[in-house]
Amino acid sequence: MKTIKLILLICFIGVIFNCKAQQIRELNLETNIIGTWIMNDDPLVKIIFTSRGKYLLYNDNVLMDTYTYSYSFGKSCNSETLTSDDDIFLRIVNTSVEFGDTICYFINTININLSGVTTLSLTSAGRGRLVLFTKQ
Amino acid sequence: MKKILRSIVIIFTLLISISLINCQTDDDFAATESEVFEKSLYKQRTISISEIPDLKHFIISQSNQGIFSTQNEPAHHVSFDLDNITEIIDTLNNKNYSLSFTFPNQSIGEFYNLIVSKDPLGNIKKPYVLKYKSDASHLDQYMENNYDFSFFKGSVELHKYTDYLKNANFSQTEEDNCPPDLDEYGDPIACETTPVDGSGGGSSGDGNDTGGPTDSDFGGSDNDDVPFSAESRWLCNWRSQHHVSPQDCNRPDKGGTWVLVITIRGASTSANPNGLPQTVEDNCPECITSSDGGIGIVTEKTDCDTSKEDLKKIFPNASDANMKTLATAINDYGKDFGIHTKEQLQHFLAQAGHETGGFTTLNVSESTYWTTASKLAETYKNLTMDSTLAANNSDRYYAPDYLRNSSAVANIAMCCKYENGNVASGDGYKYRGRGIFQLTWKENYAAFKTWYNNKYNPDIDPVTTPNIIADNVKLSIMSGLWYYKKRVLDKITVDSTTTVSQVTIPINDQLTGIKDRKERFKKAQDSINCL
Repeated sequence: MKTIKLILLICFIGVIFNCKAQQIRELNLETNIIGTWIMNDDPLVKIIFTSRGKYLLYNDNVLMDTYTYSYSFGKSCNSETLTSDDDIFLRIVNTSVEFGDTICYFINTININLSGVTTLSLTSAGRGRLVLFTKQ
Repeated sequence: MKKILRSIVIIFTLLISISLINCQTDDDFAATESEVFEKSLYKQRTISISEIPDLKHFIISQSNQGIFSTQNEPAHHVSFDLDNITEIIDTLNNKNYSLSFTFPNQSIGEFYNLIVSKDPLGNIKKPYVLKYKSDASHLDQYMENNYDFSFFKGSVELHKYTDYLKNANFSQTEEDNCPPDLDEYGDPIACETTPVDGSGGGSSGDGNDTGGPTDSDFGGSDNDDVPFSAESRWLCNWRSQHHVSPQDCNRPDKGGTWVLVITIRGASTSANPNGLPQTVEDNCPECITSSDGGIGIVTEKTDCDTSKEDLKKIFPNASDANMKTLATAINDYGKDFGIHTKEQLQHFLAQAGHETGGFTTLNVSESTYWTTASKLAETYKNLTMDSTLAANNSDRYYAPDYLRNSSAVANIAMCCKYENGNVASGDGYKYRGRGIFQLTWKENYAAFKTWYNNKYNPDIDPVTTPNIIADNVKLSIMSGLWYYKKRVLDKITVDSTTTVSQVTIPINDQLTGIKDRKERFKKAQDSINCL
């Protein structure tokens, strides 16, 4: 009986430590990116990924433009060429002629922490600028 | 009595008439002077030697690699002011460069200028040297006024370049052996000297033309002598144009300067108050009479140059020095980067102004300094809070080990893309964001280097020494201009209908800070009215 209690205690502690180690949990990209995101550096910037592949860009609650988005696995996104095989690009294509360009981001990670805050981390491809969003 | 009275009236009338005629003559003279100011046009700017690589290489080819050394090697007792070379584009589109140089033991009140010119086809003409010597009686006044050339009184001597280039070394001559030629009796020909009175009003020398130097080892030209005639006069130069009233020359804050013009057989050599002479050919009436004076007219306007004051209205918190550098970069290089219209410039200023916090800093760099491990792990997939995962995977790193370590985080986060090497290469940190638009990735550094080397200076190497982008204000701005060209002007049309949002997307993707960018654009519109 004493041995069983000891084993149970060890298992319990193991679970606790396991949970602690995974307090940041990586999420499935395709399902969890859908929703509304606020930019950490500029809360006026809001983006919405829809389940139908639309990407809506808002600034100060004004819809600036509508894009389509897709993922690109491998070495290139648009004309941007990479040397790493396992990078994932977020490819955002303007559907209007106004801005007329394709924007590529490296997807660093999408995860949720113990507090339930979901974070999307991107790096703009050409400029290398880190952009962080928090899910609303 | 009546006869006497009549005589008095006649005499009085005659005096009045003479007086009126005299006044009319004065007016005519004034009008002639005014015409001189209105007709004489040339473009002037200050550049560095790196911007004229062909001339640099030409001079080096005639001497040796050490001629422009900043180390003051004993073999080269000369120091060139390589950052303040005056360039004059004259009315014939000749480009004339004046390089000021000094010797460590030269007398106070003396200074030298090396003059090199290129014709419109790029052919380099025979260079020569002007040596200025202040009169001893006026030296104190000249020094007390901080070597302001308008207080200079003395003489200027024309020398062959080879007088100073001995055995491939540029060194001070032991004596004033200007033309070391011998006359028909075997005696040295005396130096050609022109009196100069910097206080204005002009002065004339003896007008003799001895032909000047007659021989030179300095190749590149089949011209004979460097021509020289002793005549000097002053012209008003205002914002690079002689088209305003002379009193504006006394307003340096308005861009006015007095320019001393020394006529050299058709061409003219002028010296501005900084003591830097320039060779010009101005289409003034005096020059028309000179023997070789090919006279032309500069039609391109230069009075829309962007001034430091224009920029301060948009960026009031920026330093004067930074705004001066920015203005120079815009005026001298803007067109090289595709900025041809005021709208293109206004948008550049709005974007760059936002990215640099109103140009309060020109060394913008993205921080990779983290103090919270969980935040770090949330941001980059290669950093984890799982020590076991990190221990068992070579491409995973335990986040708590990378706090307060900018270089290590950058090396992980930015590795293996856009020519950046692996984590161990250190390229992530080495090629971090620098310059006003945060030039990032080795690939971008290399592309900028190639462009800059081809266009301006082949010696600048931001790939090997990327810190020069951050340390050198000019390069910081130039990298931003290059980025603006590459990301915006090469991709979209920027005109009066272009919105700030349209320009922001290629620059920043997510319209970050759009409100601030719009405000800065409005200020730029108010301040920049032409280009």
